[in-house]
Amino acid sequence: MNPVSLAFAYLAERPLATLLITLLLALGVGTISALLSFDHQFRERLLREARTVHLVVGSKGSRLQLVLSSVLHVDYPAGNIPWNEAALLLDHPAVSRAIPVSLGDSVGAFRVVGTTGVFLEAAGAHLASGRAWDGTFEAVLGATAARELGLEVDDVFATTHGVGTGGPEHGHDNYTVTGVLAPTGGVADRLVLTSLESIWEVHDQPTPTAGNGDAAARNGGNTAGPRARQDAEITALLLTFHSPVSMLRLAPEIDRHSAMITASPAVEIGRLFALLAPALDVLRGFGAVLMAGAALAVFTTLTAALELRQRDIAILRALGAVRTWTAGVLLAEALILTLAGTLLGFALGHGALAVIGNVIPEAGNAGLSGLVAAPGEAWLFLAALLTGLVSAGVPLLRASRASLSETLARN
Amino acid sequence: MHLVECQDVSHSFPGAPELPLPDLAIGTGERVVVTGPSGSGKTTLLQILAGLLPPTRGEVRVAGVDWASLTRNDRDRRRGRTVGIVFQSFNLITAISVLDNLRLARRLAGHPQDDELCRGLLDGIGILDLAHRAPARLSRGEAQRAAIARAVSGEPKLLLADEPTSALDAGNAASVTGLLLERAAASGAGVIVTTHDERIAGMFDRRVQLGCGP
Repeated sequence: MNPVSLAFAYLAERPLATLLITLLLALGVGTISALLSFDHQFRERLLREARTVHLVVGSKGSRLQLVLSSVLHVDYPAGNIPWNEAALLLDHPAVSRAIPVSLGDSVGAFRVVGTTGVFLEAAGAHLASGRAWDGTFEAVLGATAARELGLEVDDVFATTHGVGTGGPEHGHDNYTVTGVLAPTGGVADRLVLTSLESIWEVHDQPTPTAGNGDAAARNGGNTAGPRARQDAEITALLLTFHSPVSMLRLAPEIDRHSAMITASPAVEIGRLFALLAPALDVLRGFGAVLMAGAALAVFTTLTAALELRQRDIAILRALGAVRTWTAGVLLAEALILTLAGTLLGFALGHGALAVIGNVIPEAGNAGLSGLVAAPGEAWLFLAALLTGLVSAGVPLLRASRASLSETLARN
Repeated sequence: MHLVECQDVSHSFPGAPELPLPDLAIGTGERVVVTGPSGSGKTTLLQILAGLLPPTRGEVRVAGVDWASLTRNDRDRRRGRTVGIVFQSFNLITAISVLDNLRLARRLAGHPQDDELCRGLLDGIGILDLAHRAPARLSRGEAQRAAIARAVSGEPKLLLADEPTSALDAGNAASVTGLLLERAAASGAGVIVTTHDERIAGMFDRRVQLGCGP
């Protein structure tokens, strides 16, 4: 029998109160941890994409929409651009990497992306099984897409027209799965990747006519290199430059002298943050109020529960327990409750994010995961523990000042 | 040296006149009963002897040490190691079993865990079958026995009991007092019992009569 085992006995003696305090704390910590993690992932996700793609070239319209639809895969594309015009940029000396992206079809809730092998390289994606596509109507599935669609290598599936569910089908089982990617933790997990030619053929665009040696070599050879064609279209071209200066030179030229516009993910995401800042501030303010409320509720409930120990502390002292022993019992009880509530809260908060990431396609496309912890959560953990310790402090102080004979006589 | 020495002790509760208490000198193994009407100071005397209540005036020595000379922590520690107390309301820890109450008292008295001894105490007092029962599920008589077993489990030099037979009929009062004296004798402890129960007063070596209270 020691202070910790006695603390456990006290908690077991009042299971309902123990459960209620644990749940109260768990709900507070869970909500705040979900808010913190969501905010962190949202920022990290956007900034990571902004780092890998310097410039997006797409059809005229909203630059933000272009970045959201072609880089983050969370918005609808505004239109297409001519392939022969975009293909000129593949060979541009300032460009270090160019990824064509052709959107417009889906499989269930997952977007089909016509692209080249460079996409895999840029996304840091590796094949978990099978091989890359090597012709039309071959597809490589992201880890989440494969799992949720229940598709494996050599399975066949049909695509539907439109980004999102409910569009008309493009024939029966027109695609074959050639590979499945290992999880990347990024947007690639939820994509169905295929060649540009597949998209063109599905949409009945003219058949490719001739190879473009330079572009094919630059973009990964036969697996990925699209052949030049006269009137085919793509949705966007994602460019990475050797230097920021060359990007600053090229972008205005494209904007002025072509039917295309350019968008910098870094600039557009910065603009998005500015647009969302008031909403995020409100969300954070809400989190802070919630945290203060939860801390206050836990403090009063825990203090009230520990106040019940005044009589037992007096008995323990009468039996010979010194100050550190009785304090140990109260602190252990407070810490066990706080730890249980906090850990359960983190599990609930991150579990909720995982569910949201799986149930809402846009959240999943944005890479929302239950496994990412925000740095602020460490402070949340410490704040919760501190609340527990302070809650034990008040009854401890009262116990140390109480008259032993009076407390014992009251019972 | 006496086990208990009490000289010129009195206590004042706020708003009440000073309550003088008798001088006492009680030897090792001696069995003393303190009687007197309600309000005569029986419980106050016991609390002062146990070091639970500092007297307003006077000196109280138990096993040669003046309670007033010790810090709060040292007083609590020394009480656990020298004094066993049977409270009028038993004051068992309700969150743990009867056996754990004995283990706890033994641990706080500074003795190593000895389940055989604890079980032997419960057996000797007739409640071994209740060892794992929660105190809240004991009858009053059973709780009284458990409280006595806990008080002697720490092998005290002095056993103090406050009205241990207040809620018992004549037969049980004599039986419980007999058990208390028997356990104290087995460990060589001195015993001081307060009571206004004349039925058990004759079972002790000496009687201290307190006057009418204020």
